[in-house]
Amino acid sequence: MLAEDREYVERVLAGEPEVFEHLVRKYNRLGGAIAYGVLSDFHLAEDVVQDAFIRAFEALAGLKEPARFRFWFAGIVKRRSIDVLRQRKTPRMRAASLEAGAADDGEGQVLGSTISSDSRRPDQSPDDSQLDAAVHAERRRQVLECISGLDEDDRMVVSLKHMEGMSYKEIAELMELSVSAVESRLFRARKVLRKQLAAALKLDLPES
Amino acid sequence: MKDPDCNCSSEVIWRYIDRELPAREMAVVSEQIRGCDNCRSMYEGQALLARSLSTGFVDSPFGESFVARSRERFGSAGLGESSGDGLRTIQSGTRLLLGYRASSLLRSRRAKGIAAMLLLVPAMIAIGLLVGPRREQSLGGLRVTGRDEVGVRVAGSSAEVIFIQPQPGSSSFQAGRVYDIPAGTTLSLTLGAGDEGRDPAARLDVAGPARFSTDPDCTPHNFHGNLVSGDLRARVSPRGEGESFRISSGGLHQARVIGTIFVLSARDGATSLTVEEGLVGFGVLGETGDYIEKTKVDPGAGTVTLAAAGILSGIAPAAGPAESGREEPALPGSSAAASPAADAPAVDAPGEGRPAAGKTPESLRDQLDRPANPRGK
Repeated sequence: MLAEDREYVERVLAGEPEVFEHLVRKYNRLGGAIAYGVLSDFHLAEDVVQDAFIRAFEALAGLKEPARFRFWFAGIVKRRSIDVLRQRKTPRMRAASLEAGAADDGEGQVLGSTISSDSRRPDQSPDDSQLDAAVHAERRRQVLECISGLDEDDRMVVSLKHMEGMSYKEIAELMELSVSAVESRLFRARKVLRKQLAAALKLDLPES
Repeated sequence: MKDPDCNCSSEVIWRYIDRELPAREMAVVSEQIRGCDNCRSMYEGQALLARSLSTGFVDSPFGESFVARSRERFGSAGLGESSGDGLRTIQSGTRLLLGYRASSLLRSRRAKGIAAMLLLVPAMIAIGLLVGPRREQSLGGLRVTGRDEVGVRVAGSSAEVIFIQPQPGSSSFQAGRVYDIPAGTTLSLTLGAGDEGRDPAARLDVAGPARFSTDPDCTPHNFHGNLVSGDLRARVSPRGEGESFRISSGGLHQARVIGTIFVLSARDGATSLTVEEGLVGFGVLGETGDYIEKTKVDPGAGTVTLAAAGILSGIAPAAGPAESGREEPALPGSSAAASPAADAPAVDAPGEGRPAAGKTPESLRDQLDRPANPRGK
């Protein structure tokens, strides 16, 4: 809530720096979704968000509207992410740097094609659990790989929607787009992802 | 069978899944999905895609783990030892940061990072040490009925997602959890079942699509849940002295219960309350989270709605669906009585305890009481 953010900011500025942790806890996922949208790499995104919090803290006294901390912080994250992207000047890293990428591609394809359940069953043995964990990790890796193939704005919309659970309106405010533009981007991105994931994960995703 | 008048589009189904439609349209689409094979197939495919995309992010390094790693980074640098030192370090860190602004030496990136860490992370450590690790509080039993699994994660974290499949047995229901309930699925929670030989403190049915969370510090007898979106039906045993039962919705409104049966719906910032038995305090949450009671609702009041701005509106008991605005939730196949099993832990028999049954929104109650498996599975 905006009023809550205003209170946090005012308390930090009034001499309670520990209150900043509330803002870190509340907005690190949002920052992560934005940074991932730009960078397509969780490790880089984490560094960027950490740095953005530090910068936000340093500049907090200059925040004119404390209630709008969220938008201000989002702007810092986005600018930092773009800076990092420019500095790197290397092809996008695949999201496979996650631990999720433990299983190699070939094995993942086989597992993905043979096991479709996405849930833990109470009767499964430890071996089943390990297998399930590997399958889930592989599937998550493939999902991220597909998402990383989207263009930057589409990837950010998907991240904000599916990582942070934001509404169209919230995404529109953050990205300075119209609600219809957000919906359009989301729809287009999902259409692309549907095709890719249906093939990669052998999911039954009817043509829509 | 396919509805000959079917005109559902993929866009509309996505808006439905994303909960972006007004309540009335949500109900229309819900009915369409329930009655048309074509729409249901489209919905199921898109819902599966949405879940797959969301699960792709569960390993992200954000959420509570991000906060914890920040503490660890500070700890490994040896910049904080104990809670007392931590508090002193915060003060010295503040001074250092102020000094850094005027110091060219500290303009380097490394120094900036250290200075900020001196300030930020000791604060986190101090809070962590003072508060200590949260003990996981078991609140009672949990059961999932319906079509799909319920996603569960630790509040404030994205990293620990598990999925609970629909099954007859009961699992543990804990404080500090976020439950994502898909359409066609109901999460039934029993608070304090078997606790000291007492009756359950409360029984709740949350019908998907919905998101419901439990406060990390709540207990079965001092319960605080948050209905982020969706519909919830609760049956609450009379509260004893010092006991409480509170359900907030979207951080805006709150229902405080003494002992009653009620239905709560959270849609687009508005919260609707229908009391079937007893008396419920209904109010808004102020800027600091304080509860400001707007009214007390009893079965004779029909459905009362609080808009996001805190404006109260009542629905006359005789009002039909066309007048009831947001009181038409979309719950394809969802049901509080989702399982016909006799041991269903959180289900009231149809009609039980509803002296004002004719005054509640029929569509809502019907949907909450409708048997599961609308596809006849």
